[in-house]
Amino acid sequence: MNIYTKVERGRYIDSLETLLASSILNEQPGLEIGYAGMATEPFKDILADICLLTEEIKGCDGSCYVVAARAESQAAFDAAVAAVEANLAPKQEENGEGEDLPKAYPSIKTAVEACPRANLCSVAVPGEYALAEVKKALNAGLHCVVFSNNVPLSQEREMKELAREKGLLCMGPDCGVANINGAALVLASVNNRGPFGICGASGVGIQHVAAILHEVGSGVSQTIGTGGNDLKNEVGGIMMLMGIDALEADPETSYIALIARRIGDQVEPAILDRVSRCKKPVVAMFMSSDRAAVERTGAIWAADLDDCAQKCLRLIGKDYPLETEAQIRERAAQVVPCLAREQKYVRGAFSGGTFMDEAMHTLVEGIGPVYSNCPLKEQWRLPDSHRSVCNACVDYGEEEFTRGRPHPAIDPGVRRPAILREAADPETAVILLDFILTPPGHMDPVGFVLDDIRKAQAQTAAAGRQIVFVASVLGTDADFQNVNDQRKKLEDAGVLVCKTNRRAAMLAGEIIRQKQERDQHEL
Amino acid sequence: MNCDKILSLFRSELITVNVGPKLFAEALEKQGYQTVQVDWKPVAGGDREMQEILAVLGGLD
Amino acid sequence: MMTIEQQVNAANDRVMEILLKGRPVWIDVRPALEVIPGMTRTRILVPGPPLPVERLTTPIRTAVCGAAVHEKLATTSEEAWQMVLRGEITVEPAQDHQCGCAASMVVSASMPVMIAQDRVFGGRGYAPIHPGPNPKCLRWGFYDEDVERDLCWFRDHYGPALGRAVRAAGGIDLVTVLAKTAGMGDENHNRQPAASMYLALQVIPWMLDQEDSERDAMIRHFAANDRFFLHPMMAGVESLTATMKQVPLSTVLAGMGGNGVEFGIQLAGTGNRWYTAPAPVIKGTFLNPSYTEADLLGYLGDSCVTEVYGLGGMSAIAGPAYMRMTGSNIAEARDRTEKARAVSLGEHTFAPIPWDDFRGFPVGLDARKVVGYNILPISHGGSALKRGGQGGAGAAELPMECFKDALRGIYREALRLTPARM
Repeated sequence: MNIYTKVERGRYIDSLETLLASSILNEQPGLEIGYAGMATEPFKDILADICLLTEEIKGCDGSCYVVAARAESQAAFDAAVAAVEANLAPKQEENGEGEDLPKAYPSIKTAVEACPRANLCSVAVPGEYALAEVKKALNAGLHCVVFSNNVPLSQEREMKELAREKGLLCMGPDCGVANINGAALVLASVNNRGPFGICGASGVGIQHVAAILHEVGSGVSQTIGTGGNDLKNEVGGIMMLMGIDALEADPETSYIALIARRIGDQVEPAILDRVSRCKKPVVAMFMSSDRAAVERTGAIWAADLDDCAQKCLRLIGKDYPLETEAQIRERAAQVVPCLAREQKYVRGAFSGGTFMDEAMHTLVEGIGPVYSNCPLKEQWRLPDSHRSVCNACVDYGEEEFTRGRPHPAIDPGVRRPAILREAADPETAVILLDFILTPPGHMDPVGFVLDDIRKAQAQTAAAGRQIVFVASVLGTDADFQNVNDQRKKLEDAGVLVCKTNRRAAMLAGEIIRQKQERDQHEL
Repeated sequence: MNCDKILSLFRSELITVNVGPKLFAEALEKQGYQTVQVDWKPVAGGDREMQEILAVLGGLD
Repeated sequence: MMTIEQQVNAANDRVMEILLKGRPVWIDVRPALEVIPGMTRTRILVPGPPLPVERLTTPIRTAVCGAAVHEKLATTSEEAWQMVLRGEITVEPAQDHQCGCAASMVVSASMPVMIAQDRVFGGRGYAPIHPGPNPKCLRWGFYDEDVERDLCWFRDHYGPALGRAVRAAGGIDLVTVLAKTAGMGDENHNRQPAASMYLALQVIPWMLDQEDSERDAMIRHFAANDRFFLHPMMAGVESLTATMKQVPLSTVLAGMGGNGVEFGIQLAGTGNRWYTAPAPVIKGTFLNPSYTEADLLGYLGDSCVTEVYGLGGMSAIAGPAYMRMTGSNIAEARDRTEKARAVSLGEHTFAPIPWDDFRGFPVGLDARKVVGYNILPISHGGSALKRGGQGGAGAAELPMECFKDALRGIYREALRLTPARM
């Protein structure tokens, strides 16, 4: 096997596409390993990791598109590259066929000229370019939803100040979820419309609360994702404050839910003050704020996302019963006897930070320290994110795994190896998983890992132990993947499915706790 | 704050200019919303020096 | 105070006014020495950016030496070459003198050149007369007794007769020629039978009553040349760039050409300064199936100044037949024009293209857009053989490095003119 490369200078292919390219490349016959992408420094690091970094590629910069592979022959490599190209190009080929297919424009300006009724701009470009594009969109009078991340806080503030000046929404940067006029934007779920307006700095948090509202037949008027950094002191909560203003003024919104993980100390007073002046009922899930301070504003305090959704429902006299602690204890008790002596730990593999944080907070209460690549306490940091120890949770949405690849909701491949790896560890008792549904996401995220789950079950059974899978699925039955279908697939495979991520973590923790108890008795 | 433009968005048919991967536009189209695609490319093919010069000389949409 | 961007935009607005509102008129034919600024008896103007004489390509070297013998500066080509090497005969880019030399054409002191004057802004431009369909000519790098005889005929009969005719006609408005022939399929760089015919209709009546023993031969020669219009058009473009090049900080293309080795562009904002890169090869079809790309020089000639005015590759969609002839297709033509539109600042209104929604030729290439959008504009052109002669015809992408270097030039100039920002 030799290394073959193809370099195209000045050709830009977005990381979402190059990822697909890499996947397809590695499916081709005659290739040991291959990788495709723009020759950025992180890309070259990965090439170095897999021993494909040639002198030629070292000399390339981010303006070069590179395909590199260890292949048995030039012909095999060429055929693989051709297969990749065929997959990159289909849309363009289709465009050549008929004239009624949508046309792409070179700039926001030309797009708006061609379609003057456009009112929103969805921006997902590398973070360093986000400010320029968002300014163009705002100056063209478009509201913005900005998926780009790694935008410096000063630039985030600049775009949000411009948005405020113009009276336009600037959701994000780093906005994962928003629902406007019924449309699921970026990585949101498809939801029913209803009386609840949600504004939050946590995409998954918004999605979670909205999904529960949907499930009981209510829904959302609008959901405004502010981006995770909006409430930091450097940004000042500009979009949270605008979002409250907008939802308060919106006649279709009767109730407002606000979600924030951490609010900067200089921002918090302004937010609380604004909430206290809000004329509509507010449910506030401010994770880092003092309960009394929140309640002094007149808002309904929520402890967590599940609680937030339930308190919202209470406002319209509805209820969404979640698994009770007793039910969880009982479910745990059913599986604990099947665990082998050495099976002691829970291993969480998450596709995003919000759910992992929520799970770790839940787990810590019952079973103590949880190690992680993003731990709650620094002393619980995993030395190697690819090797779990004790009770551990890993966020596969972290940069170290994605390295320019898309969010795990779009590309579940990042997390996939974790299942067999964790199952192979004899100390693993429970594998805890989250699944997130969204229109641009993988069309069958559960199906994607089902084989691995079955393989893990078979391999552990062959080794004389039984592995327990616990999972939750975030989404709605209006999502293309249908949350009920996804849950059913998991249940059919013997996975313990909980209604929410927090409940799943509670169940996983309870299993471990009962196992510890049993082990102590047996001593 | 004056919310007229935001409320006007809430009352209008959503038409999205999609800057970046087509994935997001396709997801909206599948939900039945109109999108307009911008084929975004980094300025000057990613050439840093030219990006700095163009930041001063301007001229790009 | 205006920002640099505002200053550049204002300069470009001014330059676009010249490109869009200028009215180049072919007014006369005179010996080069009489009219071209900076012309001397021992100076020979050549196409493209400057090149050390040692590196001149074979066809240019043949043409330069031929012109020197024609001017009686030397008796043989070899003697002429020695004078060139010693600097006794100086070789300079024609475009630095507001003159355009297509292919391997060179201009020496006594050669008749067409004069175009922009009647709105007053600039003047020059170009030699197209030699006609005979492939053996100075314009394609050949020089012998036959070529010498033709050069003398042009100098003594054809040039003066054309001059008398256009003077008598009160000048030929080149914009009118383009307007009258809009929709006739010319792209006006490599293919201009309609424009040449319309031009002949305007000029021939004024040749009929001239008293010259060669009158009928001249009319026959004129009528037989369906590429005649290229050269007065080049002179016309030069008459506009003469004014454009007086506008500091403009990033609009104001000149370009190749010398077979390097390709160069000029921006209005830095006048006659050249920004060069290795010359691209013209890809398309070959006149002789035995030719290969290895036989070709890089881009040679100034005829791409027509692209500066929005013709040729810029408005490829206006000339579908040329696309066909060079092995391309209508989709590619549309693509070339769309690319040009994406990086141009304006559109001519006088010659709408019927099969393109009656849109006009895109004009005014902005180097900022070329670099920023990473879109390479395309020029049409005839390719030259290394040994002399035409190899074929087709198109070439203009080198990005020229445009990047040109932006560096404007940027430095902007910092120099706006020191407060430093």
